[in-house]
Amino acid sequence: MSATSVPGSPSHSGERVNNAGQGYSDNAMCDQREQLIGYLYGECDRDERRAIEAHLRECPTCREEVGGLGAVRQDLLAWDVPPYESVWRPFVAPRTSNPFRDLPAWAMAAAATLVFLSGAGGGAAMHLFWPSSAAAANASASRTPVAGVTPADLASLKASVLAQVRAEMEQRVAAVASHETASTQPATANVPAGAAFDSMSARLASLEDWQNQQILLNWRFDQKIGQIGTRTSSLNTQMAANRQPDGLQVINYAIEGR
Amino acid sequence: MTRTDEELVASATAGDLDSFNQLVSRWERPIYTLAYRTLGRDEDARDVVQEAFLRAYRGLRGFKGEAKFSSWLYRITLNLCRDWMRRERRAPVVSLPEGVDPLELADDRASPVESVEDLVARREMSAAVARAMQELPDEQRQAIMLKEYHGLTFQEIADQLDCPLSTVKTRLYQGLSVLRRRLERQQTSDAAFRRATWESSS
Repeated sequence: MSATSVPGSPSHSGERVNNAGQGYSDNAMCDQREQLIGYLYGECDRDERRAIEAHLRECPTCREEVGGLGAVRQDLLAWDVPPYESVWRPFVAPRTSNPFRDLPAWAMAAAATLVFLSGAGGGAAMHLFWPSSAAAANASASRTPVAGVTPADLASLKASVLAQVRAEMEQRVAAVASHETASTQPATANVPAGAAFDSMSARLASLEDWQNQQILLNWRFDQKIGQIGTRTSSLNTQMAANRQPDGLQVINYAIEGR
Repeated sequence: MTRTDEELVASATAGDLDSFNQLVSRWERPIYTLAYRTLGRDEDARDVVQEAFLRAYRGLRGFKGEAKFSSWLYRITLNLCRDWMRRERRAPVVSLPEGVDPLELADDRASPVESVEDLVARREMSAAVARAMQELPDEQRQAIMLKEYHGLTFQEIADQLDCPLSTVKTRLYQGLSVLRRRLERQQTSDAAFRRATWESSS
């Protein structure tokens, strides 16, 4: 490789051959190192590439510069990296208590169908073998008079049930909220449901973070144990080699070789 | 079908640990390469690899997907390397072989037909490149590493190093020019050394 010259230096500018007619002046082309780098790495558009190639045909200094930098790029490929074995111990998801979680969907569907069929079969058997009990059940149900029920009765019943459910829900939300804030403020009887939800979400998020931290800690622990195991194994190997006459020779040979 | 990095990141963020493991196996080697070439020590590079992926896991929720996952990992790794060098208060060190071990030569040839002379020359060149790279200023070395060994575009390097695109090109140009001079000198002196050794032994 020849000595490096820098485009744009006075000596370089003086050597240029005039390249008028390409739309670029020589000075501009030789002084713009960025263009050479873009060309070198193939990151310039078509017009730029054409202009640079035209310039390189006329300018031996820039041509030599691009060739030299390309040769350096080849040399850089020689930089070896040691062989690498994975140091990562894969994360393992904690086991969940739900035994059905890992079952495929078709198995769940089959199980549901089985349950349904057994229920239907049982009902049919009741009708076939104990018709009197079935009739009695029908009779007890028919004792309730239905003729006098009006839409207004149904609406009031629905409203009362809704009111009861709402009251129970608010009570539960208030209980959760008062539990959350017990250490910082006295429980209030009527905490808005939105605030309680936010509080529960925050608590869930913190639990999730805590779980992630536990996973990381477990992982780190495993790593350390693994490293200690590797070192112990290496030491054992060396000690075993020291005990063996052949091993000693190998070690001596290796030392002398260096 | 192979899932993209973005898909794996989305699954991992939702809590699927196996997706994160897949990301690690996909990017572990490039990250090690970057760390090794930055720090020059195998065991330090391995520590950085572990820490980089742990940080990535912890930060998954903060990763908005504006950049590529690999770019984000490179940034974490470079920051860790920088912290490591600052903490250890020492410059990056290149693990250079003190001599050529004939026992290793038998196992470490690039191809079965590579001669011992070629292997020695290849090792010398590898060591020379490592040495020349470590002597470069940090910003030039990082630009060259990200370009040459990781194939990032100029714009991606600019994003990694928080500098304008034109600065990236300037750093690349200056770094390559310095490397060119140093490697030329190295090759000249190696050739002279080999010639002298051959003459004295014959």
